[in-house]
Amino acid sequence: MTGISMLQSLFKYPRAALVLLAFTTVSGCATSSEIETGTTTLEKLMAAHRESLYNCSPKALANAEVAISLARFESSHGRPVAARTAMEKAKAAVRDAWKGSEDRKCLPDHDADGIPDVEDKCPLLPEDIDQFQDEDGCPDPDNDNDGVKDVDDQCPLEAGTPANRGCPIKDQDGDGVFDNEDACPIVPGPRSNRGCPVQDADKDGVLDSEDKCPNEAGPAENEGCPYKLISITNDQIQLKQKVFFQTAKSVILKESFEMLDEVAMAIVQHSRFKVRIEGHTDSKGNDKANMKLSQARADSVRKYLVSKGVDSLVLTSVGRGEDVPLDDNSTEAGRAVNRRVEFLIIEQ
Amino acid sequence: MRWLVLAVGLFAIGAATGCGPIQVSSAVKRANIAMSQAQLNGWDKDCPYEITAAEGYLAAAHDLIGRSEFGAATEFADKAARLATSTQDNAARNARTRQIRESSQKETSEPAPAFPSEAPGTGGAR
Repeated sequence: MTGISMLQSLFKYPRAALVLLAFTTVSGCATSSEIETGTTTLEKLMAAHRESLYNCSPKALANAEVAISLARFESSHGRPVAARTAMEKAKAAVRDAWKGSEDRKCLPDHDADGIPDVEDKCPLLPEDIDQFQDEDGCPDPDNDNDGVKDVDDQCPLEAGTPANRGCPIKDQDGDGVFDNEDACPIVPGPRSNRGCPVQDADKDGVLDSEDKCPNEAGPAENEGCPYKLISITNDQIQLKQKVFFQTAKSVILKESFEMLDEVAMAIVQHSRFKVRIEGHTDSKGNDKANMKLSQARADSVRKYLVSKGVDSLVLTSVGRGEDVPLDDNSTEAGRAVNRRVEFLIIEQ
Repeated sequence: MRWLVLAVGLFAIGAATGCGPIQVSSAVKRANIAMSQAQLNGWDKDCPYEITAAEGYLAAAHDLIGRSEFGAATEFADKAARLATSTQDNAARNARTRQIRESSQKETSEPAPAFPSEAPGTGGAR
């Protein structure tokens, strides 16, 4: 049927022609409106996410925009079928674009810190990725807020002092001396020794810092140094020399002063000591005279010690005469041994 | 007089039918030149959106020429030309943006320079 014959038949049936016209008009309007609505919707959708689409699906975005233009053009020129076709292409392209831009990195990120603007509290300031609150998108130039910028802070996550390069001052050994002043930061020691433990090399109980003889064991009363002329045992203060007196008298000779001074020092330092001073003679001469001399000499020694500061109450003096010999009185050597003064510790 | 009327008539017909093809061919030529320049200079690589849209509009223009829709074809060809031309400016900016993104992903601790303020995608379908 040619076009002319179609027109002729329409004129023959005006009602049919009207119905057809109405249908065509309605369907055409509906199509045009649908296309307009559809393209506008697509455009709005793309406009809202244009940057991410542009970043990650540029070709699909371009195809969608071209197809939308064509759909509009065809629709405005009364070609609904072509318009629909273009519209479908546009939809497909938008779908493609959407798929391609789902990745988080496609979202707009103006400060280029890898955190999309929608999640970035500081969209114009790049996050400093340093394992500290990196998810908020804001830079944290001083993580621990200690006033030392992270770039200069050796402990950016622990508050510290500028003097300690941003690190907290610690006391690792817990000795009360902070590490920055502690010469031995992991070994406890007193502040007086710069935080280092005080040594006692000679193990005499006197710390090296107070020991005048750190390598020689000596009592505390002698400042850590050993006595030169005496020694202290459990029950006696032993003398390394004899106490010298004037012959047959109780006057102490000068050469014994140093040794007796050590004895005095030992008794003063051992405040619980009670000492009995015993005088002994050899067997030469009269017994009574010997007894008297030994008592006088013991008294003389006691007097000397008291003069050196020893409490008189802790000292007693006894003369034993020739009663307690240590050696044979028949020889000179034996008699020399028997002439003596002893310091017996009777209480301690 | 008759000849004059005939000449004016012919001119009018010529102008009515000839202007469209002339304009569109000029627009298509501009678009082609712009696209060639973009490809020659490598700008198309950094501007996939612009170059794809330009190709799409140019193809549409050719299609419309085939249907003697010279006005619309000219419009589409002009869009194609604008898009292809915009690659010259956008290529440098896009390349820089890509560089920034890549560097910010690799060396995230270093602060990145600010993103260019102008909006991407000039000459979109409107």
